[in-house]
Amino acid sequence: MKIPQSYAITLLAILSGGTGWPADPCAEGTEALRRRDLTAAESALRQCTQQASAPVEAHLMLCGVYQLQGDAVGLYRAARAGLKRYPAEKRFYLTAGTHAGREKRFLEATEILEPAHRRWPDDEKVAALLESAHLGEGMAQLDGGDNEAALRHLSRAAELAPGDVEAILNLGRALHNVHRGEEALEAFDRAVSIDPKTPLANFHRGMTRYGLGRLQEAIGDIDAELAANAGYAPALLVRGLARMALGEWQAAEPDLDAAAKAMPADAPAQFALARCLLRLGKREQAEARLRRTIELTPADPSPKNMLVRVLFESGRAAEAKALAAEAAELARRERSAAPGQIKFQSYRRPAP
Amino acid sequence: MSMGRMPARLIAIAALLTAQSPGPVTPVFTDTAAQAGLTLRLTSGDAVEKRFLVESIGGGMAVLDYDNDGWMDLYIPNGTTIAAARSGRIPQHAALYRNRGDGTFVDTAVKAGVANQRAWGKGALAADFDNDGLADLYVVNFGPNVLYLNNGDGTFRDGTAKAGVGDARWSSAAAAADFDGDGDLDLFVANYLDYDLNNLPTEGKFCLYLGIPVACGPRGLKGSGDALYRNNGDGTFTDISKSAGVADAAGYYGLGAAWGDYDDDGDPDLFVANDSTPNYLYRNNGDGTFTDAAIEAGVAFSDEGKEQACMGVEFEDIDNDGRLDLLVTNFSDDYNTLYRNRGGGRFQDDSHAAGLVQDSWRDLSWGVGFFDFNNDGWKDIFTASGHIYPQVDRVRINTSFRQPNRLFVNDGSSRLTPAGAVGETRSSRGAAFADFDNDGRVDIAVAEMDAAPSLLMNRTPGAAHWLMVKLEGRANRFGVGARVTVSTTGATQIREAKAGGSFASANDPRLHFGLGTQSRVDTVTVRWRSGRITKLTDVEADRIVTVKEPED
Repeated sequence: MKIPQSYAITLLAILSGGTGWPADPCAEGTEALRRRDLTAAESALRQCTQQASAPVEAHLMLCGVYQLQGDAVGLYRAARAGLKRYPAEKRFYLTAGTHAGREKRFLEATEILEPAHRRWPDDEKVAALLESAHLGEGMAQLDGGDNEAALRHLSRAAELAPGDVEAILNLGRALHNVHRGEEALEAFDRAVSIDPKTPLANFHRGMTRYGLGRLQEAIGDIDAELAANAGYAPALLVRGLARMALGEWQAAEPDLDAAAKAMPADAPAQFALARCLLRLGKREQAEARLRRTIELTPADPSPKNMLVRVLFESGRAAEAKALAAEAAELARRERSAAPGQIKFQSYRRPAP
Repeated sequence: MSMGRMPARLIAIAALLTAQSPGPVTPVFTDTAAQAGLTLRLTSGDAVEKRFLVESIGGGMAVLDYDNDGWMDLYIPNGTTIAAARSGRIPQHAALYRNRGDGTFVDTAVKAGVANQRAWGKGALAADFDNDGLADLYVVNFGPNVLYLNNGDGTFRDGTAKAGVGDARWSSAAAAADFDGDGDLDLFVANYLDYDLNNLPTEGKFCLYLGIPVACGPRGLKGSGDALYRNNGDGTFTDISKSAGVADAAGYYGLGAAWGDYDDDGDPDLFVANDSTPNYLYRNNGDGTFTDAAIEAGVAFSDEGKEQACMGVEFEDIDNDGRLDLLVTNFSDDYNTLYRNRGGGRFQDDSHAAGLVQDSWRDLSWGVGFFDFNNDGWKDIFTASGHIYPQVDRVRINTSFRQPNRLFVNDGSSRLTPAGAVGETRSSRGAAFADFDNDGRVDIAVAEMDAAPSLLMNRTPGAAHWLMVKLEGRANRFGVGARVTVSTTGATQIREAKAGGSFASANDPRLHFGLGTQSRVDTVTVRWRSGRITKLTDVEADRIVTVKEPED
């Protein structure tokens, strides 16, 4: 006859003598939970689950206790412990993954949920949670400037949920940032085709098209964005830049002026307006904007070089020369490598 | 009359005329290189990886009539591999394609003694350095440059040692002009990097392009100074780079050079196109020295104040206003820059309004020429392009190693019309322009990476008229530095006789003018470098006119 393990433990306790020996914590926990004595249930089930022999139900019950207590951290820990012991139990993945996601630990959530998705590829809930985790991690990386990592996660999110416009839109942004403009456009096209009203989809497509030199198309995208999102300053900036690139200086000015006013601390906006004003012959206004740009980005030689031109043209050669020297030094530093920053490979001529 | 006050009926007529007037004729080219015999494959290091810039920066070519038979020949230096260059035994040789006058060429480089097998060929310049009426060759190399002097019998002799012009640095382009007005041609050499084949940069800062590992540099590497050699008139030259103020003490990465009298004061000025560093515009002070006026003139940087990665350069008057404009070819994700000469020593980056930005954005361009390919009286623009990194083809980014060569047609308005790709899409470098078949239409030769060159013969239909002016100077025999002004009814065009330009190349020494419907030229005026003036009147079109410099 096979003695059940819990009875074996109790028997062992009795045989060991002493009535103060604990009863079976697993059974106690089950009973306490049935009575809704959550404190006792938690205590007993924690003891139970620390045993190597703890059944999967004990881990699940402990999760249930934490859930009833509203203890998210306990729930997460219990689920992780259960997952370690019983990797075939889907509810542990869902519980731990959900918690990690809620805590914005998206990377961890993806690590929890990817194995679940491999085990249950058709489970929609697992897929949805995993997609959400990848999207969250991708967005976080995008905001943090790690575009390659963002691209990995957003690609996965878009793969898991081909209809999720947020994932697709941000995948496009990541592709744009790693200079894969054609693929970025495909992503933006998809986002717009799924939902033509996707916020900022036209803006991002326009920005990418501008970066690819497709200026007329970029202007069309920005027009569409501004129709739905009137006065959106970054869109005005991109449209102004595109118009300048086409040589349409007068048409560019209102956009750039509005963008610069809306984003007074944005160096590209100030600089773009300065370029436009200079070309339109508004030298004094251009000079003011150039000086503002230099305040915002003192290490960038380009606005300084432009201001040098303004100064020369207005007969202030001494100031121009001093500023030119300053800009030249900044540029020299930008293009220089310190010893060891570039590795060289020595070649020794073979002996004759 | 302003549009605002124009009567409605007139506006309607004007609109009708505009609608009915045909657009500019789009030039047509046919690549005849294979049947013409231009078959020598040009080598430039490893054809697949190009891990080092010395392999990626290809070269140019020189047009010359070395045998004075009236048909333009073509000299193309060849590159080699790093292993061969290290060993000093270079199997690849240059090509000197003698034009047979029947549409075919024959390579006579070895027989003529211009094989250039002691160094890695990068570019060539044709000019008459010894004023004997024969075109000599100056070959720029990675390694010592070579001056081949024309013997007049179909062969050349190496005059480098005596001349003292064997610059051993990495030279990228050369251009000649009589900068001091003493009657002989001086020589400027643009140098690129201080680069050692036995100690090559392999990885680190400035070795990535858009995240892809590629050849390192030029940023982070040491630039090489430039050189100006004054011709002493006795077969020797003196390096006066420092005293003249053109030595490039800043160590910028020189890739292109062109002479032109941009300030119209009668002496040639010099533009140096620098890669990833500001350009130089050396204004000739007329006393043996130069002043870098690039920043003040507005040509050191782009319109945005940015250093561009400049490759090729040409000085020409694109808008027929009598002033030399500049076109500089640049890296991809940037535009080729048209600087319009506004007079008073100042230029304006007019690339945007000219329509060049959108259509040159993907291109990494090298060779460039302003020529009137459809003979309508307005100089068009041709650019030869190809990326330096083959690795760009392995990811989906906004460029490719092989790129189309482009034509932009000028109809006299401020905006150029993109006329699409010309020839096969390859990875092109230098381009040289000449009327190889003497039919009055300007043809194009293009150096291709790891391939035989292209020969784009101009087959543009139509009966537009033209004139070519062949100069015979008294001292500097091809009249380099002379400014030719051609006036027809309602139109005036200028060209200067040059030696060197585009990218590492030299063009047909004869000056080509498209005349549109004008079958006669009212006046041809030549302002020689010496200051003498020659004026011809009522010149019949559709011919090559030889103009000789008069005696005092």
